[in-house]
Amino acid sequence: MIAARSVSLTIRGRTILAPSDLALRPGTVTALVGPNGAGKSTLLKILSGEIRPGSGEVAVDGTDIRAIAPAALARLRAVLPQSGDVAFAFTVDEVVRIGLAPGIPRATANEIVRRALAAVDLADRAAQLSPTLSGGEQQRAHLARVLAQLWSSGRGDACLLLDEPTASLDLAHQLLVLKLAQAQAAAGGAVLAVLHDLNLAAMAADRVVVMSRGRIVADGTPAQVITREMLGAVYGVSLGVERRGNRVFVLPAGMEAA
Amino acid sequence: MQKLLAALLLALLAAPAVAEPITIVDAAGRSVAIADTSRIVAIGGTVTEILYALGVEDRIVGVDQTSNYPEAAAAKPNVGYMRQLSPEGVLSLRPSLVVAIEDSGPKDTIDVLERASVPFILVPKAHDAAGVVKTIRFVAEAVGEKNKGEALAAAVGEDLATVEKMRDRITEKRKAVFILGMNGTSLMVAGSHTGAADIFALAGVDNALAAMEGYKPAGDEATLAAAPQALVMMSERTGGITDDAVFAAPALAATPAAKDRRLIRMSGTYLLNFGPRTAHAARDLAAAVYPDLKLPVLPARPWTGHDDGAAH
Amino acid sequence: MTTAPPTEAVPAEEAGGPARLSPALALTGAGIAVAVAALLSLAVGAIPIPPSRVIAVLIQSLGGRDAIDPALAGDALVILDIRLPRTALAMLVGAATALSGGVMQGLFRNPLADPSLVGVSAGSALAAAAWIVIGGSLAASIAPVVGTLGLPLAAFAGGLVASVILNVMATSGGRTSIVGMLLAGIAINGLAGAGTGFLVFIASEQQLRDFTFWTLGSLAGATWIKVLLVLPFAVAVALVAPMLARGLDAVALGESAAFHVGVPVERLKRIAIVAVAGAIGAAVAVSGVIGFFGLTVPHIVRLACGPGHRLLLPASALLGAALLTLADVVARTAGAPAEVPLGVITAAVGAPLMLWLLAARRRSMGE
Repeated sequence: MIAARSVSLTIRGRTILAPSDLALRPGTVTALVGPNGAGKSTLLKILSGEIRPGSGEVAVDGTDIRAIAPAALARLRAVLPQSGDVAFAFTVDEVVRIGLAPGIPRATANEIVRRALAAVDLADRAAQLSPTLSGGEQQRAHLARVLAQLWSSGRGDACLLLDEPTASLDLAHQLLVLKLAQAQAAAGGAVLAVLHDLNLAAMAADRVVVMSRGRIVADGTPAQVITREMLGAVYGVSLGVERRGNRVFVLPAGMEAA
Repeated sequence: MQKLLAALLLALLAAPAVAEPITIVDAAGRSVAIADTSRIVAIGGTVTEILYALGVEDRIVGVDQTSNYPEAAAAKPNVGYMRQLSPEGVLSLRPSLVVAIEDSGPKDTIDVLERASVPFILVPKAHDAAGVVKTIRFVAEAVGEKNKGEALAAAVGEDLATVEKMRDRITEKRKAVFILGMNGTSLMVAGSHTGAADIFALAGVDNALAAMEGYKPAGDEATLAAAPQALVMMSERTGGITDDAVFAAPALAATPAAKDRRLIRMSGTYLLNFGPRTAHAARDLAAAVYPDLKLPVLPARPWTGHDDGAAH
Repeated sequence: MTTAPPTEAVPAEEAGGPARLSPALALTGAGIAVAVAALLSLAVGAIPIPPSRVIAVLIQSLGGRDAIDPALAGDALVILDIRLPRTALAMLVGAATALSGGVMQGLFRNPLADPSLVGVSAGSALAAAAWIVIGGSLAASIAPVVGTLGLPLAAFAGGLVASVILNVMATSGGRTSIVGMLLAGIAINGLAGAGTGFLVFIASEQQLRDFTFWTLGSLAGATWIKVLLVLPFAVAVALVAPMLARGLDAVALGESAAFHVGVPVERLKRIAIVAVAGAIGAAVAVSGVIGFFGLTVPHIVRLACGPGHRLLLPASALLGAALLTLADVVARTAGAPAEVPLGVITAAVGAPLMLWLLAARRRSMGE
């Protein structure tokens, strides 16, 4: 599991992230939501070890993340970043293989790559050049790479950090991505996904963390967190929230059932 | 010793051009032993010109890029730029001797040629009348033509002495600028410590831009302030530049030289080679800068040809 | 040349896949090209020597210099003292330059990156100009060996200083920024250019010609000492390259993605820059600036074999060795007994090839 303790980041006097605590729990999908510029991606990058916080610390399984070598860290957590342009004309198959941990036997590696491609619906595109894929297909190719990293890491419960994984995907594939996230959580991994669509967050996440202006302002189950009041305070919009059992839905104003 | 004797005997039988082996201390202070002068590679226009004047052109098997006088020399195999000689390129001409003007190289090539038993001799470069005579003697000795060399040196020395007397007739020295080339209207000119400055001195002409050193782009105002009375250009590289274009250059338009339209175009090799034709070149340059003195023509020599006089 | 015709390309397993050479075929082909180029380089030159005698000299020389038939002494001198060190030098310089180009392109995620981009070559050129104009005459009088090796050593030192400045300028807080490196490279190029310009200004006509010829690149005057000067740096970059391959593949996804899959990106950048600076400094030192070579060779390989660095780097090294050796054969035979500057040949072939590749790429991308 990954835990951040009072991490903050200030760049040239501007506070990007105020001191925040966030512990990702094994077996849980956590959705990180909030308006643009709230600090969601910054917090995710700090949790992934990509950027160092100005203060505070991040621990992975109790060890300070700075003390973990990149190769070892890669076996503990996988990350799907927002932008995924590939510099050279790699094939989809080659892109996925970049995620594999070094030293995996050839046959195992081939099998993992095949499964990863099948899992993201790209089984028939293995030999295609990555730059010729559509935006959504490229996003899925990178997801397959992340899966290859998880599945070759040698442990089933590695953490998974996803930065807006559903952007540029059609509805079916948005659901597919969230299913894969849930599967990793079911295997014992801690999963964090930055999401914009509150309905998707409510549907797929066990826990929703809301950020606003560099702070965590709410943290709880979807039903606890996604409320009219929160939407008004954080997003500055007036929307309806519908409850059905323990599920919540965000609806355009005036459309909520009485 | 026996080996050497045998080699000597063999060499004597093999080629008529072989004289007794001699050892010469060259311009770099190296002692070079020369045994066979039957196949010579000549590096440097000066060296080539002297060899032709000595009448040993049949023994020249190769020349460098700068050997373009006499014209026949340009037809010989060319080994390229004198400071970038390729060892295999030179060796492919099967030379028995390389006679090269000072500063030829590179060192690595000279080393390889020496290991291949090809003597490589560096000829001192002349900067004045005495130097020209010395260079001629040096080259003649290196190729085993001491007697012809003395005769040539004597004739050239005589001509140079005549030029020196002519210089005494110059009462008021004129200033000239040597223009190496023009880019648009900006000039590349010769300062002091250049071949151009040396030939100017020999011709009794002051270098208007002696204050700067080497071949450099000229400052417009400095050139104007130097007030040259004559401009000298090489005829080879500057054919495309008309007199009017030269006189219209901002640096030159207001100079006395432009007012008198005194632009002298002469062959660069003729002016700058510092070999057998240098006395004639100096006289022709002086005659062009001082037309009013009506300087006499030097006696024609077999090596001066007939078409290299000054032209306006 | 050595890129196999398309008919030899292995068909992609599935429709829509690119036509690429298999690793085995690419490496075998490049290896054969190296062997052919080496033999050609030993057999061809301004002096005609029949192949049978070339072979005889080579075989006899295995028993040492004294084992050579005295009748072949003249040929032995040409082959062993002139062509052999020259061939070795061409191979090392070609391999090191192409390999460095491949590493730089991977590191900068840009197929147009080249060691000259970050100022390493410019630093070497500045030091070479300083040596030609100021240093040479001074130092040669101190020790003769400095006279021959001074220029390469100065050029190497210049390249090294440029890369140290580059690293210092582009690194802050332990991280090396690629954009920072590019900008620092431009600044170093400008500064070195100004220094070189000043030296050109104060240079004599002859020094100017020397420097001009040096910047055009040449392997003339190859000696075993020069071979020994390049060898350790070429070997170093060749040893380091395979270790960088996986990391460079990952860097193609961006530096953060590379870090996420477990690549120690900062260390990768440092090692790559040091290895490349050493190799390029040494190569430029012994051969001058050889234009368009480090840029074009990896590009050709990428087109034929794909961008994966595990294959790209060794194939580039082999192809670079073969192509530079062939270019040098042309350089010393086309204008024999004079030499055509090597950089003129590589640029004359490389630049149009580059334009053609770019045009082909635009077409295939449908831009």
